Amino acid sequence: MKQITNILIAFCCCSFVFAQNKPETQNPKQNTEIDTTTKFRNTLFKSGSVLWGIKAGFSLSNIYGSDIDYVFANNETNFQPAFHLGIWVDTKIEKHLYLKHELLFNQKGAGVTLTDSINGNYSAQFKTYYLDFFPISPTLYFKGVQIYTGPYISALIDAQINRKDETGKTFIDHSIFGNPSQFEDKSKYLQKMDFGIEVGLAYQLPYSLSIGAKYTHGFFDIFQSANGYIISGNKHEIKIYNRAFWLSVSYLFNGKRKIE
Amino acid sequence: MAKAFTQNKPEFIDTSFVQIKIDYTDYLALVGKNNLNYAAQKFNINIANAQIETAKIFPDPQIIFGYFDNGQRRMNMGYGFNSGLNWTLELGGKRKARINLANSQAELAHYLLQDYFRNLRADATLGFLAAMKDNLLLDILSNSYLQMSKLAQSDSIRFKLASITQVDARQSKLEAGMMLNNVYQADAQFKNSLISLWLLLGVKQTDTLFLPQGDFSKFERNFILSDLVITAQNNRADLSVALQNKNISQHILQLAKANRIIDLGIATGITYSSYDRNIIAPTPSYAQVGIGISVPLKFSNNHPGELKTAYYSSLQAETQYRQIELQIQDEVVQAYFNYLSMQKQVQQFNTGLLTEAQAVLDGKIYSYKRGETSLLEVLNAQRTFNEVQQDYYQTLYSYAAALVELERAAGIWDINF
Repeated sequence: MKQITNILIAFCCCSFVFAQNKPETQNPKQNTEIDTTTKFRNTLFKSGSVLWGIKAGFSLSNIYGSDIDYVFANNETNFQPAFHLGIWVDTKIEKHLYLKHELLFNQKGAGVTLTDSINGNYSAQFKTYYLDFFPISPTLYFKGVQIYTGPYISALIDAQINRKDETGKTFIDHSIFGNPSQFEDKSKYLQKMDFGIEVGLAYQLPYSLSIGAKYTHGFFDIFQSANGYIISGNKHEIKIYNRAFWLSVSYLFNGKRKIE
Repeated sequence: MAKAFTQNKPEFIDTSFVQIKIDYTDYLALVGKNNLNYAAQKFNINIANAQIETAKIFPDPQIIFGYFDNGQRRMNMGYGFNSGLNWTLELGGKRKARINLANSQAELAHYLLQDYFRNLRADATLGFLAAMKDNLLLDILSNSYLQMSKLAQSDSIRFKLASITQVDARQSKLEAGMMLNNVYQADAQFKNSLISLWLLLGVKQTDTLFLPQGDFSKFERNFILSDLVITAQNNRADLSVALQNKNISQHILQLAKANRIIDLGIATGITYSSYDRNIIAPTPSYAQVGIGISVPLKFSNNHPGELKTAYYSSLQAETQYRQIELQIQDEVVQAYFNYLSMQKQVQQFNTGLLTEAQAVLDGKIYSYKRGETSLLEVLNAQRTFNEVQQDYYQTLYSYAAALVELERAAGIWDINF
């Protein structure tokens, strides 16, 4: 037993001496190697790049809210076709994350019912023209598919409604846009801005085209009556809001770039 | 502090300078303490630390204050003030990337300083050894001169006693004169060696020379080449520098990537409008509070020049690191074989060359004094003796220098003599 112990001690000592005399390569500061593949390089150089293009399309817009019958003849509305046109910019943040920015000229509106003592109830088209700005919508890109959501803010450019005169002839009434001479407790006019959110989906076709659809939902009451506080019985907030479904085609300007 | 000493040099050598004996340990300590280039290099550490502080800076906010007047004074449309605060919110980890880069550069500054000292220590040691060698060479030549001078004086007497011819007496005197010239030359070289130490020691006084003390017998080592290569790769500060350059290039790459991420501008402000007294629509004074963001559209990112530069620089740093690895291996192997060669040459001298040369010279002088041999043979023996001695000290110096170079190459240091 003692002999075995001596051998073990001798072995340990030898190992120690060997370890002292034989330096080994040690590089604790060694870092990871750099990826030199073309795929990595291309992905790296595209990081943060900006895509931009134009967008145009068709939309179906409507209004919703509990006070529709307060402004119009009843609570029934229907979707109206409209169009939009504008520019967009997508900024790449990470491999699959972009920020989408859009500025669109957009028509909205709804089919509503009006009434008067001569014509009774009749259908009319309520049309608005907005400059819609989607400032920053986080967008997930994956194999050509984009999913995004974000806020929007709109500036009202013009508005109109098709009314009938005493003879039953239809005319375009712009007074709903608002003017200084109108008595506002009777003629409700429109807010000059709107605010809401969008949720969208798009697919990047090979090369420069993409198709997409989105839904926008407004949160600002688009009608107002400034004298609501003064004239008793009038509301100071009229709960009617915008909403729309969009179908768009986008064209990518900077190169025939297939989104990864 | 330091004291002058009287050296044992012959009177024909200028000793008017104050000379201070200095041993190697004190010398190296003084070099580390007083060398001006090294002191200047140390400031790189402070500069790098300052750059870390700079990297930590957040973007400064901007405060805005303004006055406006709505004009239409006749209508009393009023006036107002506005003030606001703008701030850029850095996204994408730019600040962290900047700090990481600055930390890496600070670490690099440490490695560079280590490497500078590694080279300074070796160069200072070589300077010290060269001064020791030149001192010994001067001693050889001055001793030879003294010997020849005595011989010439003796020959002069012997000529007067008609023991030798006048030509022989003149010849020995002429040889002594030539040797004195060689002594002057060696003296100048020795002093120049001492003066070159001033630069290393950061000495300003021009009337003081440091006289290196030491001996050449403490430079024998045994090394295993493969271990030396591995030790060098583990210890060499310049390899650490190359490795750190790799790290830095990767941090630059990370910063370049971060710089491509957009920043958000945040703005908030308040506008105060005064009472509006016009008769159409009088308005009380009011204050507006606003908040907003700005998002840059980075079309510049479609030209990734900065990113490409950083990426290819990192590849370059990687390649340079491998090159330095190879270079270190090459330097160590060369220095090792050079050291072995010098070791063998020193051993060759130790087989008795010096004593043989001394014996031949002594024998020739003895014979010459007895008239049994010619002056030419004495001179020849003297020349041979000098050459052997000079070669010996030159070889001792080269042996020591080879060890210095080997330890410099291997990144180790155990030299003391």
